[in-house]
Amino acid sequence: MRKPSQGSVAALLIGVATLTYLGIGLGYRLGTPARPGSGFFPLVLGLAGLGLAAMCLLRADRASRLAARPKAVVFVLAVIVFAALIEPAGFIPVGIGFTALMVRLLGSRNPWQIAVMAVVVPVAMYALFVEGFGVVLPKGILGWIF
Amino acid sequence: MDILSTVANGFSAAGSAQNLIAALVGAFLGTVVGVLPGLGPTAAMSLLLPATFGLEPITAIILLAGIWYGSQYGGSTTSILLNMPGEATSVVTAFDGYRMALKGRAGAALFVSAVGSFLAGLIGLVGLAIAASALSRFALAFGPSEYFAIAVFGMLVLFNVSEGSAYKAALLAVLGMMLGTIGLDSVSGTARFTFGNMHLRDGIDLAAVIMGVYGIAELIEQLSGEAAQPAAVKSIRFRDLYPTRTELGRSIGPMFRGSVVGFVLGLVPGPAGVISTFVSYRLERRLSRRPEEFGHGAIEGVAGPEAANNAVTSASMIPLLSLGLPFSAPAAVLLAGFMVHGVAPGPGLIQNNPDFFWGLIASMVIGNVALLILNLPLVGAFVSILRLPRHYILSVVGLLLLGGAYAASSSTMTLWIAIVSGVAAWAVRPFGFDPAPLVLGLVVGPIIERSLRQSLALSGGDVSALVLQPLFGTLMLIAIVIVVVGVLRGARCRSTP
Repeated sequence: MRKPSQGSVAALLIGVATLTYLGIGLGYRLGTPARPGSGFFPLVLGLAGLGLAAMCLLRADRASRLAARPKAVVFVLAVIVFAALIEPAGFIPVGIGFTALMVRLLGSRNPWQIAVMAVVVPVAMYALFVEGFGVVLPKGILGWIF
Repeated sequence: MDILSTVANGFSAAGSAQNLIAALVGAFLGTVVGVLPGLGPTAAMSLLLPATFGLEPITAIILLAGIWYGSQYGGSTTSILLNMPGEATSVVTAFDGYRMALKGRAGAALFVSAVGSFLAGLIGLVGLAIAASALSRFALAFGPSEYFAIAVFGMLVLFNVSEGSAYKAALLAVLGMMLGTIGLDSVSGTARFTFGNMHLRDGIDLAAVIMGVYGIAELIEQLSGEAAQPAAVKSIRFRDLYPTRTELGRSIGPMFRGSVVGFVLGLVPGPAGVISTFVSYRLERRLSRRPEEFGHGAIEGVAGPEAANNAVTSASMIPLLSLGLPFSAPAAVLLAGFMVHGVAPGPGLIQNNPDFFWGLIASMVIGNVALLILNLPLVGAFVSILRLPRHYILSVVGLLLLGGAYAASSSTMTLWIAIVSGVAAWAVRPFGFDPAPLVLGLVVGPIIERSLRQSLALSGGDVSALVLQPLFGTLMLIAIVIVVVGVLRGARCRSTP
């Protein structure tokens, strides 16, 4: 049996997501033609999405492939860790870790360069957001300083 | 109040210190964004959206609009000097601009590009001022069925002109509309698809999705590929910027034609900026007495497309400012900017808040003048940004994106939305899925749903009453013709060996 192409898998996943949406959407009130309920539009969208996902599945491009290099995977994991830790640890500590990793991933091997970038960028950005733009960013474990 | 005093009030509003600074900063940042490959105006505008929270509404919109039109100027610089387009709209400029640079005429190409962009910017703004004012007066009489018709028409046209296949664009637009249904139903107040999460009751944050699909996805892409190092750029002396009389003579016609082409195509939903540059290029080659020079350094191939992509920016604002309907991704971010500041674009804005509308137009005139004056002397400085090591630029951009996504709502919800949408957009990108329809679906979807439900309620559920309305019928007829032509053209392309 021929292995399904990545394009088919992508279309299939979109189809499954659409089907899930439709399933949940059917739980809302459909209403009447004169007074459509909150489930009316999700039903229309769900059906349209399923039809289009089926078309994408049938016409999936077999040649195209997703090229995920290890660096990209590490970056995705890093942003997930960043999001998980930003509130408990604070923007600056997670920013330091994230920036150090990014600079290293992008090719710098100079430890001084990595250290300076890792400290300067998050601190400058925190100052810019909080003092310059008046936006709230979590202080976290450094709350006693600010 | 007569029109002249209204325009004067607009210039007075735009001339205030903070608005002037916002226009200049926006235009400057836009140019930098245009120079940098990868970070486009849409992502940059979303990034700066949280930064505008503390600003006056008009100042915030002036800043965001400045990034949009400024990026069109910046994109051409790297196309001409390095054959490395900063924006998709500058790809065509590289065809002849880079050839001119190889022949030692980079200065002339940059000059013609800047003047063409400026001229198109002004022509586009005059067109925007006239068309948006006229359309807004007309649109005051629009009811929900008219809004429904225009929104659906826009989306149908978008599917046909999007990059990649129409059904993939349609699928992503539907997915965007599905995301748009998350949160409180605006008609009944029912919470939909929120799973009990209070943060989701306000809906999916547009800025977070845009930061994800245009910012985080781009960063993953950059880390997945080999880094292209820009070639060394020779410094350009100021006196080298002047084109010869012949070059100038050959550029004037293409600048005007490009402006008209860009303005007309800018009214079409979708990637009008890119399309307009190709149309303008083809038009100039067809009209030229020396078509064989195209691709080898024809100055018309720079002047026309550069004018076209700038005129598109002004034209794309017409549906947004006069109807409140964005039909391009940057316009969607601008709408988010309006919404964040509690200003509703649409016919009411121009009629009831003319100072805001004319202030924005005036600021764009000022911004275009500033770009013309500053861009040419600063060409070397802008290009030197590209010489900065990649780890400096991308690590700053990465943290700025994550911080900006958090700051959009001061909660991790928007950060997670940005991450999930970014990873998903990157994962489906190789299979021909362009994210623009998803973003537009997210913005236009709620408008379509609300206007459809209101229309059905007003007609007592009679669909024929909706279909038989003159505007609805006409627009749907045009949309059907466009769809059929698109399908037939696609079928013919497939059958041609």
